[in-house]
Amino acid sequence: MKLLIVEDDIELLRTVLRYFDASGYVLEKAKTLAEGRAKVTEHRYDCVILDLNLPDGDGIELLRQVKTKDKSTGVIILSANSSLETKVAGLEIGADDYLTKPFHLSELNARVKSVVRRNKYEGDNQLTFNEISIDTAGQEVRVNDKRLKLTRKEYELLLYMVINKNKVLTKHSISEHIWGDFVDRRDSYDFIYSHLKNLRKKIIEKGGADYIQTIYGIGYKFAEGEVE
Amino acid sequence: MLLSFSLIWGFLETIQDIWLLLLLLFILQFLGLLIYDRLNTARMKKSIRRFIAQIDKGNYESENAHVIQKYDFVNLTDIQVELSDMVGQIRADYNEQKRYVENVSHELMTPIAIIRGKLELLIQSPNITKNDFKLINEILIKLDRLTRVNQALVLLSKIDYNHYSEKSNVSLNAILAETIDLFEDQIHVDELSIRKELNDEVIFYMNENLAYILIKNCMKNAVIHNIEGGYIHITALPNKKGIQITNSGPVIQESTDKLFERFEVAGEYEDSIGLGLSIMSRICEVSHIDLSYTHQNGVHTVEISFEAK
Repeated sequence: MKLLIVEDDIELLRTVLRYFDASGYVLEKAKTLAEGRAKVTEHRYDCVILDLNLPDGDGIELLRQVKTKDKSTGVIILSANSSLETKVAGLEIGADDYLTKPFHLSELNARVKSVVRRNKYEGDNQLTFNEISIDTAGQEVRVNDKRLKLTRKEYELLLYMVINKNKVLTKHSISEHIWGDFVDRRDSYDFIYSHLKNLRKKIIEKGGADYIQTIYGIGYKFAEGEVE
Repeated sequence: MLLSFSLIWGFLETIQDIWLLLLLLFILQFLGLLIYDRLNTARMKKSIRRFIAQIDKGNYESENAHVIQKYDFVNLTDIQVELSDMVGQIRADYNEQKRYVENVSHELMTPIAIIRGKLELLIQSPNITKNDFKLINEILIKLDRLTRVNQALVLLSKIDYNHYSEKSNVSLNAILAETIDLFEDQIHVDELSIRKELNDEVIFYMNENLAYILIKNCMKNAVIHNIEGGYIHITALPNKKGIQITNSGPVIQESTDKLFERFEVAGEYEDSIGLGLSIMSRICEVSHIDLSYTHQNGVHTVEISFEAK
């Protein structure tokens, strides 16, 4: 997957690049609107991560340029403005998704994958991890081809973990992914624990292995077990 | 004969003098009146001018130094010009404030995003010990608090400079349903019983975003500051004027007035920030909503209604 990240803060840019590089993307970067425009003119990307606050202009210009060139290129907007109406406005002007700073890298990863999936006309809607396969179009999960009955939250959790497989996910990022910023953090960690417990049980019941690893003190990881 | 002539001449001269004198006096009087009139008018104009200059100085950003000329013509046009300059100034100030708040938000949020990002990268390293994880988690929790306080302050600023001035008819029922759904886990775990008695649509004319924030904060407080096996009752006020949310909860020591001061903390919840209540009260102020919060022996009641006009 080819990504373009347009962000003027060099440190944030580097941090995002490092995370995505480890996830196997092909990456390009731009630090200004002008740089971004040049890149978009030359290449085609699967997704563009765009910060609206650029030093030499409004990122919205680049959004327009990308969408004019190729509608199927996903655009995810990053901004510090968290008000609801800015989110809606961002989506109204053609962005595929909107993330407010500060965001979790794992969350950004999930959004990028989701946007690219949605925009691909060939409908790459299958996500597989060994014997677990997720059909994102129908929101169905199968283990060894047997259908799994999951609650909405369990499905979201599984999807989030599979997308960010082999990465340590903080309880914080999981909580924010499911509940947004409106739940008291302390309690939501307990809910995550109980949801994951149920999820694990359901997967094992259908013959799947236990990939949900608890990383003591901080979160979870969805990976093939190297039991310590 | 000469004597008479000289007499007559003298008399004529005297008369001439008198006439001249009279003429002089008349002219002097005329001039005097003229000057007086002009001085008077000038004084009036001067005071009007001063008044305008004062309004002008009221704008701290104004660069125009008005030279008050003594006998300038001052008329309504000048006042209009001043007022339109002032309005232009206010508009410019608004935009500047808006940009300032957005910039501050951006400047604060970006480093926080970076810190979070680097910590997320750090925890992927295979050499982290369990104790390290704990430490990192504690840092993340504090970062989260920093973020939420910043977001709350930005929200308050935006409300203050009228960022959310657009109003529409908002149905509270829909927002309530969505919020209850959001908190279903908490409600389930704490075994709270929720009772909604809203037979009709309760509609408020206010900014939609603020309505969301207000209701969600109300419900969040009712859900979180509750007790195990407690309840939340939502009823409509008579004439669909508003809603009342009553819930069980802990007994609070502090007086309910102080709860609306920023950063004031109630009861045993060290993690909760009083900013939530501050936001709620500001939203109610700008939306002309009456918010009353009473507490008696563990029964908390919040009433939200439209101010009687």
